[in-house]
Amino acid sequence: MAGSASPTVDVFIRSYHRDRAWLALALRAIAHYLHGHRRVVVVMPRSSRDRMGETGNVHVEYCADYADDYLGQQITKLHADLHTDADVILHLDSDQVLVAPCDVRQLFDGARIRIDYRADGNRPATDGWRRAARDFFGDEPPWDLTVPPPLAMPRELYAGLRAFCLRRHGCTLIDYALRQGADRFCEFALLRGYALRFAGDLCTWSTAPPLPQCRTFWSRRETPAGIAAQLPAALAQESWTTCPSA
Amino acid sequence: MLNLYSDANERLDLKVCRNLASEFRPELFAMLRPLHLAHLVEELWTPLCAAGPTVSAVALEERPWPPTGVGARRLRGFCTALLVDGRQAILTPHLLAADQQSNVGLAAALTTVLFGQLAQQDVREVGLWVNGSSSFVASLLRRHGFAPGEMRVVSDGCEFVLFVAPAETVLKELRIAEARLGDLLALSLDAAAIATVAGYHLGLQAGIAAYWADQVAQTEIYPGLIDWAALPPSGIGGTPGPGLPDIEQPIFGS
Repeated sequence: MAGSASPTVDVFIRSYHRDRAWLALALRAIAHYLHGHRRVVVVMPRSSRDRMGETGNVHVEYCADYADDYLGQQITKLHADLHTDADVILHLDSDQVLVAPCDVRQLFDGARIRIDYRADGNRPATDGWRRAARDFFGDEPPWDLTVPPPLAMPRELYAGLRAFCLRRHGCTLIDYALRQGADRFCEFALLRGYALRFAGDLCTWSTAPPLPQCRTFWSRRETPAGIAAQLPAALAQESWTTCPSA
Repeated sequence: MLNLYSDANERLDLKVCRNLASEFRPELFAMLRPLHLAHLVEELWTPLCAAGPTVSAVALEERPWPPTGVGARRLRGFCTALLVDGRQAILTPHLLAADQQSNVGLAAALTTVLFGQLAQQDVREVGLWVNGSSSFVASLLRRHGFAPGEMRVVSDGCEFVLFVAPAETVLKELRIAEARLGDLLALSLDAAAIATVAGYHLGLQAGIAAYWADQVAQTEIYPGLIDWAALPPSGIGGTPGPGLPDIEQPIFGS
């Protein structure tokens, strides 16, 4: 980080047309509950441009289309620093909804960024995603680093991670990800793994989630309408979808 | 405007492919089986895709999890064009999955994606084989900018005439030239445009239904292929037939 007393924080969401309704809900929840961030940056593949409705004041950028967008969205997140100049990038997914007031100051422990990990061994060490960090860095990390977002990262780590990939694997992070496949690659494990190895003085590690006000749903099976009863009234009362332009 | 298919269409990925029969073979079988058309994979799409360059627009739905592997994708609809001489495309009307038969938003979106890809390949003209005795489909196509051309094929005692139109004109006549893909899939169009789009796509669907039912003599539309065995003598549009073998060449001189 640049060392300023109050680093800028952007929320970064990689989405696509299928998550349109989830994205609308997530953005509404951010507008309603999150404080202290500079802006929200949404990135989606170019092929989604024609499928999305109005996104209001949110800054939307478009990235390359990938044959397998499950990998594609992971690749985009590992290049988040190319889409924003914020000091700290807060990753959220389209199907993650803030359900209570929160502040980006929760992401910090003084000048350090709070990063969470999992210590309960819920995911076996043989799991493909858990192995992603070991395969990438060459040794077993001490914890399970595959925890989903919210995850805040200092911007300088992204370029460092990509350079590390070039040095260690002789290829770009994009080629590395495509070579591994969706069941052997975990973008958040790599970001956490790099922070753990090379940015110890920037981070505070904990098993506690940095934003406990964030609820994670599963957009591939659930719908915003289906989980409405689990949301605060302030979010549940509004429409679930943004309508395509007429 | 929400409709019966809005939610399902929102989950679809629309793509183009060069060889439907090889790239989506399992998905093709799985989609056609409930329609009792699985035999067409071998009898129509495999030879069609092998006969020449083709482009297909496909609508795919991914299962919730896992995103890859056997059964990960379901084909929900497609349409195909055979490229002829690099300038013209002969269309096979769209086919939609058994539970999508009135999903005209999807049919229109497939048409738009296919025509968009053809334009990128500088193919500006599209055609459909229409039964020479057809009134219904012939009128429908004339209304949307098509006109009968010179090319003809003969199959099962019927002559099929190639109706041709600039792809751009068809989209304009359908009132969807400027429509966004998301709006087409949601049928977020004015009522007149919905009626036009529905009339055209359901008309094509009905026009080729007899062919799908193996009743070629009764079909108004023939699939978009050039079956040389079915060509009338003298070939397509009067193209000269193959030359005589050397051994049969006339011998001049002494």
